[in-house]
Amino acid sequence: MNGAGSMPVYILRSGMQERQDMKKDAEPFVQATIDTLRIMVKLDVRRGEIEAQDAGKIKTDISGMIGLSGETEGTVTLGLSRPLALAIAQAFLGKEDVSENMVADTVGELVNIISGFAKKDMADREVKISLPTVVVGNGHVIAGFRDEIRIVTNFETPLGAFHLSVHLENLPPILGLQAKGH
Amino acid sequence: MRILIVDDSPVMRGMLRRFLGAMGIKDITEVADGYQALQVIATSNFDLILLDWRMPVLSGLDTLKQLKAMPDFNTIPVVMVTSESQKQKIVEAIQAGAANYIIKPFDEELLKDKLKPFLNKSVA
Repeated sequence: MNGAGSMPVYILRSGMQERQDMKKDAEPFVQATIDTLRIMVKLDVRRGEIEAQDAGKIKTDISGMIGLSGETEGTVTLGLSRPLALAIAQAFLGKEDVSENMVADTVGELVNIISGFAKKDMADREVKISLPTVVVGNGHVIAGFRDEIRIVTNFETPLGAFHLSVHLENLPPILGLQAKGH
Repeated sequence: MRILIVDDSPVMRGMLRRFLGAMGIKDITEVADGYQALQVIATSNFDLILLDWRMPVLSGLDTLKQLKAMPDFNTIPVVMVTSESQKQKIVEAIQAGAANYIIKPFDEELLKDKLKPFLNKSVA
């Protein structure tokens, strides 16, 4: 057999290991969420249950979504109830009279800030972040691709609960050994 | 003192306006993208520009580069106010001519501290 070019070999992880790795990968986004709300609107945020889900299950009123591409690919979705999103928008703007568009924009800007801030802990990776997309609709669910695993972190605040859903693909190909030529 | 805010998020523009107002700065213009920013800069006299990075139409970095290529306006100090937090992005912006860099999230105190070198003595 002559020395053909090397072929990429992907290391397959067990389902449990994959979930553990994904929870670790989601941690920068979880911490960025806590820091962002604490710094910008002085909101005390406590992290609650973290779980790996394989489908969209959580209903929410306003979702802000960001896409990641490059050496890390995936999505980051922030889901808030309307009353909580309104309260945060009011805190951002320092007034009570806030339009529905401003409330939606607040959620989009929050997920934008969270994703960008999390990037500082991904310094070794070239990652691009999309512009945010916001979905508004009482009790909606953001569905994903079949078998797509998301790490969902639930948060508690004095103004209500919310969640962050992170799906990341972080699998670079590992080149196999070249076959020896003759 | 005249300040231009360039950010595609109206809530972020509103927050910056509120923080600047608390510093006594009332003469503020807002635009939502870099293209609009370059148009308004060419027709006004701004003392300082607060510039987001990730925007539609024209990114903050490209806006900054184009501004620095405009001989009549390239001395206006530009402070990036952005969620781009990776070190290489900060370096890129400074090399393109940004006078300072504020990473979102930030609060009023941090903004004040970062803008202090650029504010008139009449402003708090």
